Amino acid sequence: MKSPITLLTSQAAFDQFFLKLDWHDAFVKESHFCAATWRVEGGTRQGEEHILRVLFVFPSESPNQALEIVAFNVTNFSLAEFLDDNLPRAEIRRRDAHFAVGPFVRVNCSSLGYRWRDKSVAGNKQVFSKDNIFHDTGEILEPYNIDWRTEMDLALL
Amino acid sequence: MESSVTLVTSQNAFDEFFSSLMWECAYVKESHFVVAHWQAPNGAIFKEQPILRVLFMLPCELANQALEFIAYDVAHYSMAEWLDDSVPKATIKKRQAEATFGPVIIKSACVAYRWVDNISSDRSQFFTQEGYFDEQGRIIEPYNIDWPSGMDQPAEAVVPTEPLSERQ
Repeated sequence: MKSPITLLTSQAAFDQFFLKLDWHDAFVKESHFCAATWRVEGGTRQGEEHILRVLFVFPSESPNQALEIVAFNVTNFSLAEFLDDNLPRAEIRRRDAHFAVGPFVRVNCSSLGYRWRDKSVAGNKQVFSKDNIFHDTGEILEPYNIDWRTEMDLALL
Repeated sequence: MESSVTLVTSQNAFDEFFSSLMWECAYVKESHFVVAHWQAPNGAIFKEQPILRVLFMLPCELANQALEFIAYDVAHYSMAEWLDDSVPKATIKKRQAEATFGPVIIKSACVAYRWVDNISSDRSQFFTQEGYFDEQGRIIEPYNIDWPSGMDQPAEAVVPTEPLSERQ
């Protein structure tokens, strides 16, 4: 069974988890952004999903694991492998999340989640080139198919 | 058969090809960045050069084809879906390339491109079907080009302007 995604429903949730990790020598191993769009006849845009996945490796924390960060409804982002030993920063709001670490990593999206990837990610392994986000029929696949809008709303009640 | 990768070896090559395309309504459908790494028993990390692949859709140019842009030895990059109808610009040097497609900015050592067939604007994903390494860790076709040698060729082809005796 695939590890479920934990949604970051508050600023405190981010601080509590991310700032406890050892970011010394951490780096970005892989990222995958997919904008899935579909159209009706005539070319009018009907719907869209934008998901970004970023795989962080923490040599000082867990050499054979990686942390996958999932950004939903991504507006824009910038990435580099190099994090310069910086700690991450984030602003988490109901429909607005900003994540940054180091001089070049920035993600602007509506919501953020994360999960640990258990298998070894060392060597030439590619995690995201094996796992689809969307099914051929258009459904978002597990574990990415979480109802993040409802979860964010419930967290604020 | 996979379409081969065309290395952008000069400023002219970039301008000529990318300026000739219709970038109106173009957007990024997908991007994939990966770096191979190994950890020694003493904990030291060794990394290969990062690669970035970007799949541009150009609806005004071709409906079911996409332009795959490949950046070797990526320093950093910025990405957004929409390109704001911008015409691409780039600075291409021997070991340094900076390409700009509106809000999409890619800094790397070298860039290349190829056309990819049968890509529609729906939910299909390309880079989850097309890896960069095989199971043995070798870079697979069509990405396994010797780009440093390819970038050296134009410079070597230039006839020296000074006598060889003075160069020694």
